[in-house]
Amino acid sequence: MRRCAKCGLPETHETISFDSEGVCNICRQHEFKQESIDWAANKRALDALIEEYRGKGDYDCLVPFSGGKDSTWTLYYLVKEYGIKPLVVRFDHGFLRPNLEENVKRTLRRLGVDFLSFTPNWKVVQKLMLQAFLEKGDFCWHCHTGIFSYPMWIAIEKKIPLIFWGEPSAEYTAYFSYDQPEEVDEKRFNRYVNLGISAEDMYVRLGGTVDMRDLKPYSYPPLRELRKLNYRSVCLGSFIPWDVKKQAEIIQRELGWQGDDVENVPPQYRYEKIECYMQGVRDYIKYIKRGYSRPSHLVALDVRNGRMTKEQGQALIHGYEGRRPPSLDLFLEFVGLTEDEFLEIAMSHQVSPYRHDPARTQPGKTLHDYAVWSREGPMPRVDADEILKRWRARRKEAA
Amino acid sequence: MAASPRRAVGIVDYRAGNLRSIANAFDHLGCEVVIVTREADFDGLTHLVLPGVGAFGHCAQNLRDSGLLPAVTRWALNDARPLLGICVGMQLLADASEELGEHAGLGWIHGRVQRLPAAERGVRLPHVGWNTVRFVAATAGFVAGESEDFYFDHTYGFFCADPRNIAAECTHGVTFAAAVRRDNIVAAQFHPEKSQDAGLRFLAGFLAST
Amino acid sequence: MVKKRLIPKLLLKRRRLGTVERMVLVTTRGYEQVIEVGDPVSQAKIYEAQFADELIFLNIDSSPIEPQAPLLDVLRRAASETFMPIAAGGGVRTTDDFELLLANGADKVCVNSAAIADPSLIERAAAIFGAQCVVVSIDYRHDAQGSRVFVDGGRTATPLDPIEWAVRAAALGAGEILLTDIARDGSGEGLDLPTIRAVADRVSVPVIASGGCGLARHFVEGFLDGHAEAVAAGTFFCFRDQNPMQTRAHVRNAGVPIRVKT
Repeated sequence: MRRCAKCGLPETHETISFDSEGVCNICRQHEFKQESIDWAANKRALDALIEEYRGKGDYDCLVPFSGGKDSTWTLYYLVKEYGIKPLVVRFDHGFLRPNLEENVKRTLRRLGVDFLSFTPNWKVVQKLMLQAFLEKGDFCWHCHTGIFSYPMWIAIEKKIPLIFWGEPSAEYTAYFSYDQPEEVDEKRFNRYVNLGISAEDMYVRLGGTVDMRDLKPYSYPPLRELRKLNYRSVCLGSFIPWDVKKQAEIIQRELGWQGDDVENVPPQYRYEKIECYMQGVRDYIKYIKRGYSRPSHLVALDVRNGRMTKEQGQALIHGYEGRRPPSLDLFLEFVGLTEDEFLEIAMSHQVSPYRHDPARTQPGKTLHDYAVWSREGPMPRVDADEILKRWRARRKEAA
Repeated sequence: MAASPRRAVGIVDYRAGNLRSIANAFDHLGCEVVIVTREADFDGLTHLVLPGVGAFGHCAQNLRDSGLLPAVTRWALNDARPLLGICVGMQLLADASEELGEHAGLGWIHGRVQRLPAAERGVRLPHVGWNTVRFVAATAGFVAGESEDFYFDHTYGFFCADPRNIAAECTHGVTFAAAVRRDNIVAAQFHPEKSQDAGLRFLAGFLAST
Repeated sequence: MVKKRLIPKLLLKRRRLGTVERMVLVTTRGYEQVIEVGDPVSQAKIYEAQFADELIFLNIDSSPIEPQAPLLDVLRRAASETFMPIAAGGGVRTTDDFELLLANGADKVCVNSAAIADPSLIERAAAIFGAQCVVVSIDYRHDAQGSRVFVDGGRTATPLDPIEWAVRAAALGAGEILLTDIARDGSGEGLDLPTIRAVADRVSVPVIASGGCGLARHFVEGFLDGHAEAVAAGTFFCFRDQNPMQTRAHVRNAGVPIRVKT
């Protein structure tokens, strides 16, 4: 597989392309970010934006929040720098880890903010996880879409026009670049957040077997409603330079935010993706499809930021990447699949030229809180069968 | 946020093609949209659009038959209000077109509309698809020297008599005017209402002209 | 120079889902098996966000095009939420059908069986609406006897050869030719390059190649080997983690001039 000469990310990374020097476009975007952006001007624009909306309603802005490092930093920065009154909104995907919940409580209490959390119908979530895994090899559709849609409905309902997200996608992929301001809107949602499937499409793919109302949290609100609000939905990382390591250090020091061990990720990255106990499965599927996963991504970031050489990163990657996560056992229960079926489905989504060899897979370490992750609500096999049957019939027809 | 100025865009309906997409685009940009079928519809407009799809002669005849030409002329030439021509709506501004016979245009921007030479240049006609527009003068929010891709679908091109009227160029076998301009009149051979973000930016730039 | 185009082909069918009958987006395999994949207007918006160059909407129920036709409702809604060219077809029989589709959001109209039944329809439509609005769609199969054009959604054979018919349609005023190999439809095996090239080399209008894309490489082949100006794909984007932006980057990296953003 072809890899970036600088950061090592392979050709199977979404949106990657290589220039004549073999350096990838995401590295170049990063260079642009360091060298060609007038961050002072962007900060002034942020100052102006905050003042424009301050005090106009019950809340100065809405901050979508998970409790992970990025949303915690975003919330912390806005409250500390500007003293604004935000409404903090969380879409609960169903897999929050205990330490993360501790962090959330600590952050909310230390900052003093109002907090709304929404947990969608688990039975619908299960169907969506299985359907999305089958369709796109990515079971997190409900989470991607819920995280970006649900807060927008709250913004409309509570009349909060200014919405602050965290990192711009240009930090990791080339769906957007740093030379344009990244509006977190429906276009972005359709460009890559929803994997090319909207809630309306999912309804069709589920054969109309859910209530369309159950899909509302995953549907992006109509533009006309958002415009009536005069909305601005932006990334904090468009106004201030994003640096996850530095930011993680600050929230640890100032808020007592604590990292956690994460499946199949080197321990020096304890700030990364601590909020979801399905993270290991997600990474494992990515590895099966694309031949790389989170360790490569983290190393690439460190290389771009001059904190590590590519060679140093290799050792870390080999030690951790691609192992079978213990959380897979829970995932299989939640979606009613056997491990063989899981592999068959994941491998059907391989991205050329990578070819996965399951025989080479090693087991990964069990995390300290594994025993307390809820296993409530396994999918009855008969329900999984119905979805699988429909999928197999379509695959046969499509093959 | 400062309130946006009121924008009321009139789209001249002279039965020369689909107005709906143009109307949708301006609606998306937050304007009031008026489909202009009679003189009274001009009241309160801030901007005017002359669309046009189909054969030049057919469109020119329809414009004359519509009875709206005097009002459009007053708007554009007497009152010097903002006018945007699109596709055949741009071609009509020329002196004449040779499409399916010699037909007179409005002569508001001097030049001729001629068939793009195709086979001789190894290109296909109609010129359909996205092509690069090179702005030579500041136009509709684009600066001189800027390039952007827009969607074209035509067989005949506008060749300006006076290079100062050329706002932007495009090449398909030959280089022709992708956009023309004369004071308050701007026109595009491409379809801004069909050119996604670039097109919306162009229309927003037109709206910013008063 | 004009760029090559990547055109998602959206096939529409009426279906009952839950308690409501609606137009649903489907993909097909060999024009027979039908698989429901989504909502047409939603997919149009998604494709626009992913920089598709144009869209083709084809109603494969081929129901008559009347003012209340569901196809028109889909077109109107798609045209109000997307700002990109739309070609529409399926059941087009008369110039009145052209007029209705164009008035409801289509920029071009695809005509297939009706043009074969009455080739003067091509001339008449081109004269009224302009050649750039007229796309003649040709479905064909290869068999032991050679290649045959099929009508009525690929069900009825005609004695016409696709290449000769394409040449004639272009001469009659078609602005573009949409060419589909029925057997390759939804197969993922790749385009029928020899036939596409034969047509493209004989006509001076743009050719849109369709039928069989399964890899990004197939698009490149369609442009470089097939001499197509555009490649249309129905199934390609529906079942995998594959979107037009990735395909475009691949095509551009292969040296084909195509619009690429970021």
